[in-house]
Formats: sequence, C-alpha cells, structure tokens
Amino acid sequence: MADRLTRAAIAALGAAAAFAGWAGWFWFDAAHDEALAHAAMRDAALDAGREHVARLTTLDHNDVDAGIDRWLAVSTGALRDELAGTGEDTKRALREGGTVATGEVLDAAISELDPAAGTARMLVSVEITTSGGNGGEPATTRNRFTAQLRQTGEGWKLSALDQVPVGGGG
Amino acid sequence: MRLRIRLPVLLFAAALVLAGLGAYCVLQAHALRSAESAQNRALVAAEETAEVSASVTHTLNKVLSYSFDETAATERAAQRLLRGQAGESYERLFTRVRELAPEQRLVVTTRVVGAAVQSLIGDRARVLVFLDQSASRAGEGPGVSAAQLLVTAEREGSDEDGSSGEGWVITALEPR
Repeated sequence: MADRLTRAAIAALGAAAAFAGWAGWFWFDAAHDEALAHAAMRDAALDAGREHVARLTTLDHNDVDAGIDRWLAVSTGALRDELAGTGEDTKRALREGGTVATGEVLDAAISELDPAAGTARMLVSVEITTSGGNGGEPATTRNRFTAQLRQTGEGWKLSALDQVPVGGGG
Repeated sequence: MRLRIRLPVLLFAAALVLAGLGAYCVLQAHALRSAESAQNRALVAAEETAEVSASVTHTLNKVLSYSFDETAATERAAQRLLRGQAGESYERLFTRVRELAPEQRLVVTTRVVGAAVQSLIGDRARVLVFLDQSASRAGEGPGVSAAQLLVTAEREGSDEDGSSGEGWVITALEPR
C-alpha cells in the first residue's frame, strides 16, 4: 500500500520536474529572444527620445542655468559638448529675451535601430509654445526634427537633434 | 512506519513545488511574448518594415501630387490606394481641387522627406511621415510648406480567390 503510494509520488515528482525543466527553458528562451530584445530596445529608445526632445525644446528665461543643466542631463556626445559650450553672452541673451518656450512632442517614431552599436534615429514632430517675449501673445510653431539616440550607462540619450528643413532638397 | 508514510508526502510536496515553479515560468514567458512591445514588428522585421515605409512613401508622393491638367490620373491612383477615412477626406479635398485647379492652373508636388514605422502589428502599420509640399498657381511663384502626417496602412491580402494583388493601402491620415 505504502509502496504504491511512494511509486505514485515518485512518478508525480518526475513529471513535475520535467514540466518545470521545460518551463524554465521556455522562459529562458523568451528572455533571450533576440527579436523580443530588439523590440524592447526600440520602445525604450522611443520613450526616452520623446521625453528628451520635449526637454531640449523647453526653456524658461527665469531659469536659464537650470534649463541648460536639464539639457546636459539628457544629451551625450557632440550635442552635449555643443550645449555645454553655451557661452555667457548666449545665456544673457536668453535671460533678457524674457520668453518661456515649452516643447510638446506630438508624435515620434524610430526610423533606424542598430542594436549592436546601441544607436537609433528618430523622427519627431514637436509643437513649441513661446510666451512672454515682446509681442505678449503666446505663439505656437510646429517643428520637425530628426534625433540621434545613443545608449549610455544611464539609458538612452540624445547625441544629435536636427531640424528637418522645408524644401531642403536631397 | 511513520517514515514510510512521510516519504510519499514529501515527494508529493516537492512535485507540487516544482509544478508551481513551472507554471510561474510559463506565465513569465507568456508575458514577455504577448506584451504589446513584442507584438510590434516595426524595425524588428527589417524587410517588412522597409516594405511598408516604401509603399506609404510611394502612395503619398503619388496621390498628394496633382496637376490641373491631369487630375483624373491622380484620382484613379487615390481610389486604388486609399480606403476608409483616408479615402473620404481625400475625396473632400479633391472635390475642391477639381473645381479650382484648372482656373488657378494649380500644380502641387508632394515629396516625402522622412518616414518612420511606429508600429507594425498584424496587418496594420502606423507610419510617421514628413512631407514637403510645393504648390504653384498661375501668376505666383511656387511656395513650399511642411506637413507631418501619421499614416495608418493596412495590408490587403491576397483574398480567398487567390488574387495576387497583395499590397498596403492607406486607411487613415492624421496631421501631426
């Protein structure tokens, strides 16, 4: 009686072990699936890119230094160097301009992704609202940019942000 | 005697733990594979992504470019390549174009200058497109303007009759 019970228990344990082994492999396989990893990378780049572009198109004249610090926090490479090189004259002009620019991303999509290099390119449409200034009335403009993104130790950052010109040829 | 009873109980308990662990792994794997991010094949399926992007670019260049002296050709292309909301709003636009184009000698040329596939799930894609549109009218120099559109495209499969006309049609256009 007890022997039959033991045999049944051993069989159940064997079956459960086989199932657990298979399930573990199934999970491992999904976690190491290249396509899934690339999809996750694309979405991470897009989310970071949207946030960063909004930040880079936003600046308050009352708080120019903090604004530029925020720009530096989301950029890397050549773009960061360029922003870090913002001179005192430019900063003074920004303070005295008296405007508050607020960028809002209307839409964005990744156009290129290089998972091995950890780089991506993004198209982004941004509405920038500028208030204050001399005219008084807030003005909105629609702008389109291509952004280059690079994966860093602190997540995705912008390495370039270029306005797409109208009738630029090419 | 007590040991004999205990052993099967222990074995069953171990089996139960392993089964639970297995179920947990299966759930985790399922969550990874069915997430929206995983369903979206944009850029992951490189060839398909390039195909949608090229198809949408080609269609927009074609149907958003028209000349006052040959609106019929543009309209035929639009009827073939646009559906639903995209077809209806295009029809409204083109009713005005048909009226005004000959008298204004209107020529509009649209060029896609950038396209990126945002999502590609099942047979439906969303593509963000940057356009340059230049319009010239009689007595006026050409003017160029920028436009950004979020395009929804759907694959029209080879139907049950086996027709080989598989391709992407545009079902919605949204200014962005």
